[in-house]
Order: sequence, then structure tokens, then C-alpha cells
Amino acid sequence: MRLSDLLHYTVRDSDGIELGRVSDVRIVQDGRILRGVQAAFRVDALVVGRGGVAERLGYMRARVNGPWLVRVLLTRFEQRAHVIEVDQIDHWDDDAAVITLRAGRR
Amino acid sequence: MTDARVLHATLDLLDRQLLDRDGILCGNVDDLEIDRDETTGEVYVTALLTGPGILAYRLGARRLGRWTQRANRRIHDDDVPGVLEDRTRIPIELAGQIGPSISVAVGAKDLASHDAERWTLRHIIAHIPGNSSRAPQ
Amino acid sequence: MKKLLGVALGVLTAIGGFVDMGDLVANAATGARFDMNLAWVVIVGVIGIIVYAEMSGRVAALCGRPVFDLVRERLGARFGMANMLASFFINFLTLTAEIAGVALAISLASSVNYFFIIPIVAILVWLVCWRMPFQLMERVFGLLGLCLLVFAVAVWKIGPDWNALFSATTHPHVPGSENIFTYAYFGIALFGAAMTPYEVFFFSSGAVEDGWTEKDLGENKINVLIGFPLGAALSLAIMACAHLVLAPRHIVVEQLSQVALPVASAVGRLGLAIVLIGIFAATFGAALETSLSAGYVVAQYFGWPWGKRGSPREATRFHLVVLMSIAAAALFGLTGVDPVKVTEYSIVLSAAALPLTYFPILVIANDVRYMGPNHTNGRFLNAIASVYLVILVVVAIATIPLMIITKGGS
Repeated sequence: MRLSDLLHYTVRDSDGIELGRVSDVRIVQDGRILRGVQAAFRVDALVVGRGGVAERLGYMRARVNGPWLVRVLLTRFEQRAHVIEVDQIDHWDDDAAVITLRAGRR
Repeated sequence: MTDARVLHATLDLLDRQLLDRDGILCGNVDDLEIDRDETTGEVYVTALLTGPGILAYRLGARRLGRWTQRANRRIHDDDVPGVLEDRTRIPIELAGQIGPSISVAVGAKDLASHDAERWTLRHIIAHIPGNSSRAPQ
Repeated sequence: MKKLLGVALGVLTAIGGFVDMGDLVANAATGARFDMNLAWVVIVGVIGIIVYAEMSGRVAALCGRPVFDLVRERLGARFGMANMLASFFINFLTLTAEIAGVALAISLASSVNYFFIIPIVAILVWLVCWRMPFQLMERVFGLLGLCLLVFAVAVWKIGPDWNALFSATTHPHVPGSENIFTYAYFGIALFGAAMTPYEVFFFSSGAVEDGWTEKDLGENKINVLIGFPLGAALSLAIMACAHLVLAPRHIVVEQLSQVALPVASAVGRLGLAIVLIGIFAATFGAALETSLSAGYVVAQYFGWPWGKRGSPREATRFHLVVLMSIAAAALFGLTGVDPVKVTEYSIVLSAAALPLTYFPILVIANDVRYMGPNHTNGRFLNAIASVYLVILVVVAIATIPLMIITKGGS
């Protein structure tokens, strides 16, 4: 699968309620060691929901702070994004491009 | 693994400039390959994708993507021994420093993204006088 | 001492490099039609280009990445591509205007037919892009462009009532013969002329090619902070000349020769010769910058090797784009399109496109991961930069409607 495919997936909770579309993936470099040099790039969470622009520009998680005007305008939309950890995923439906979460998760 | 690095794919990897092992600009990260382990449920980023067709695919122009790939195969000269199995796919373990640009442990020649550069050299630039002189600085 | 000389040279280059075909036409046309009532726009424009150029120079020095590389990185492939195509198109119009400007200057001096000169100019521009070193190129044409200072001499020779001139400049109003729409439209044209985006593509790419580092930031600031305001003063001299000589005679600027007319009438034949050299140098320099910018924009979007530091063999697609752009601009010029009209459209559309590249640079200049902890924008700069972001967005939204309402300012 390509990232561009994954960015078309929608995420639903166990009751089938739609949480939004995957907008980014969070990667942690702690996987098994590859070729003895590099730890594998493990996808640890999916960022789901709106806020693509702010995400893209780095205003999320306070990587970029200024200028005030831009931050305020963008972070308005940002709050609607969820971070879904990969181990909360119940199953992937690749034909319908839908990811369903385990029960007990929003 | 105490201080594992945390990255965001679209923020830190996608669309970054690639530098080959000699520091030559060799395309952008046009897409990423993602692999899902069905049994453990773990998901990995396994490769950086770059080159003709990849960007078009990502932007939804699948037909343009296939056409570009075909056109590119035509201009690719086979005399270069390939290091990579797929010349648009750089396994992630070959990625070095990830910053404003990403350096990869391959040569630009090994990548499909560089084929048109060499085609332009052979068929156009090489025929114009003065093409090899560096401007005196 | 050598360092000081370098700084002085940089500043002089910035003055000469500030003025191009767009500034010549826009300042003369507004001076003739609106007297000094739009002079304030030049001031607003120059502060904007100072903010924009300083940020992009700093970004280039600290992370070694030029503007268009970052545009795609920040805006994504899709929006980045739309941005690239728009920027390339507007830059193409500017390139056409500059090549036409060079050809007009030569044809005015030699009375050889303008259409005959265009191909020669195109070949010369390409040869310089192909062979001449970056810094030498910038310096030669920047310094020769200082011949345009003859506009200031002309203002002084005309000997206006200085108090009246000053008060006309500081008390702007919409003249009775014009309406608010044409006033705004010409304001946008002046603004676009002062803040042309290609200057920044060129500037930041040049900084990367010259291998700027943190150490060069001081020089960057001096060039921008002294050179650009002096360039703006030169623009105002062009406007004042038109206001003093053309407006009373009801001459509307429709040809490049009319831009030079006030100098010819106030300083004489020598003045005319100097101003033509100045126009030649300014437009030729800008033709080079826009030719290279065509290559920068495309190559940086796709991540191709680019630049003039190495030989053309090391950046083949970049040089191909430059070559094709020059050829296409020359052909477009040869179709008999009105060079002054092309210039006007190019600067107005430049103004409209400014947020596309300004915004990503503003964001990067605030990003610690690119700039390091000590070189992100300060609070004061961010305040000004935000005001300009608002201005640029308003201008961008207003441009097309105004273009339609005023029928291109006629």
C-alpha cells in the first residue's frame, strides 16, 4: 500500500460512527533493526480528521508557533483531529478503504 | 529504545528533497510504501517512492502515471547496472539523515527520477557548445 | 576594507536590481495619470519586499533550501503544483516584458526595428544564463542599472516646487478625473512592481548557490534594508518625473519611450543616452533573473538538480527549461503583443500571486526545526509580516474583479 492510498481511508469506531479520514501517520523509529543500521519506521498512530493544512504546516503539537494570526486561524480547525493508535484498530477493509476500531474506543 | 524518534509522514517525509550519496539533488519523496503485517497488526513504512509516475498516481492521475512510467522506460539506458530492484523504490534502511532534505545511500543514476536528466544531457545539452565548462567563480 | 567594499557593492547591486520593466512602466504610468497620489503604495511595497526577501534569505542561509522547494514541502504536491504552474506562467509574462524592454531600449538608441532585435536579445540572455558566473552577472547589470539615477537628476533639473511635491506625496487622494477602481487597480500594479515574486525566487536560489550560512545573515540584512529603500527612492523619482513632465501635457504612458521622455526633456541628449543604458541594464538584468527563475520554479518543485554554479551538464533539465522559456518568451514578443500591456498584466498578476509563496516562507521562518532556536522571526517582524499577509490576501482577492471592472486599467 502507498501512503497516498492510506490517506483515502476513513476511520470508524466499533459502532460504525465515522471519525474522519486519515490525514497523517505518526511514525516511531523503534522497530527491528534493518541491515544492522537503522531501526524500522513503525507506524504508531494515525492522525484522523480535519486540519490537513495546519498539520501540514506544523502548527499541530506546537512545532511552529508564530505568527499569532496564522496560529489562531489554523488551530481553530486543528482541534477536530484525533490521534488513533494503531493497536486500537480492529480491522482494515481494503476494498471499501475503511478502518474499524476495537470496541471500547470512541 | 529510550529516545525513539517520532516523525509525521506528511510533515517530515513526504515531498522532501532527496540527496544521493554524493549530495546530488535526485527528486522528491513522492510517496511512501506502507506495509501491514496481517498477523501482528503492525504497520511499517518500508520505502520512499520517487520518480516518474509516482507523483501522478498520488495526485489521482493514474493513467498519466502509467504513461509516464512507460515513457521513462523508453529513455532509460540499460547500460547502468541497477542497485535497486525497483528504480522508483528506495528501501527505508537506505535513508540517512532526515532533515530539510533526506539523504539516501544510493547514486542518482540508480534512480528512475534521474533518467530524464541523463536523457536531456545526451540528446540536448551535450550538443550545445560550452556545456561542460563551469562558470569561473 | 574588502568586506566593506563587498557590502557597498551588494547595496549598489540591490538598488540597480530593484528597478525593472515593471517598475519603469508602473511608476511612469501612475505618475502621468495620478500625479503623486499613489506614491505611498511604493513605500508599502518596498517594506513588503524587505520583509519577504529578508525572510527568504534567512531561510535559504539556515536550511539551504530555496523558496520553491519549501513551497511544495509545506503546501503539499497538489497545491504546490498549482502554485508552481501559476508562478511559472506569471514569470513567463514578466520574462516576455523584460525581453521586450531590452529590445525597445536598443531600438530607441539605434533606430533598428524592434522585431529584428528581439531574437538577438533572446540569444544574448540565453548566452549569459549558459556561461556567465552568477555573481558577476548580478553585479554588472545591477551597477549599470544605476544609470537610472539620471531620473533623480532630471527631477532636480526640472527644479520643482519641493514643498508642493512633498505635500502632494504625503496627501494622497483619488484625482477628480479617476474613480476608486482605477485608483485601486493602478495601486495594485505599483505594489506588484515593487514586490515581484521572481526577485525572491532568484534571491533565495542565489543565496543557496552562493552557499550562504549563518555568517552571511548580516550582509543579507544590510543589502535588503539599505538597497531596497534606495531602489524605491529611484522608483519614486521615475514617478515624479512623469508627474512633473507628462501629466501637465496629458501624456498617457503607452510606450517605453514615454518613460524616458522627461529625462530627455530635462537633461538633454546625454541624459537620454544614460537613461537608455539604464533601462537596457535594468531590463536585461531582470530578463536574466526571470529566465533563471523559470528554471528554479520547475526544477525545485520536482527536485531536479538546478543552478548555475556547476556546468550545464550538472543541471540539464534546469537549463532546458531556461532555454525553452527564453525561446517561448521571444516568440510571444514577436507576435506583436504590446510590451507595455504585457508588463502591466505581469505586475498585476504578480501581486495577486504573492500570498502563494509568501505564506509558506512566513511559516518556515517561524519553524524552529528549520531555523534553529535563535533565528526564527522575532515578535516585531512577525507583527509586520502578519499585516502584510492580510494586505497580500486582500490584494489577491481584489485583483481579478478590479481587472474586469476597469477593463485592465483603461
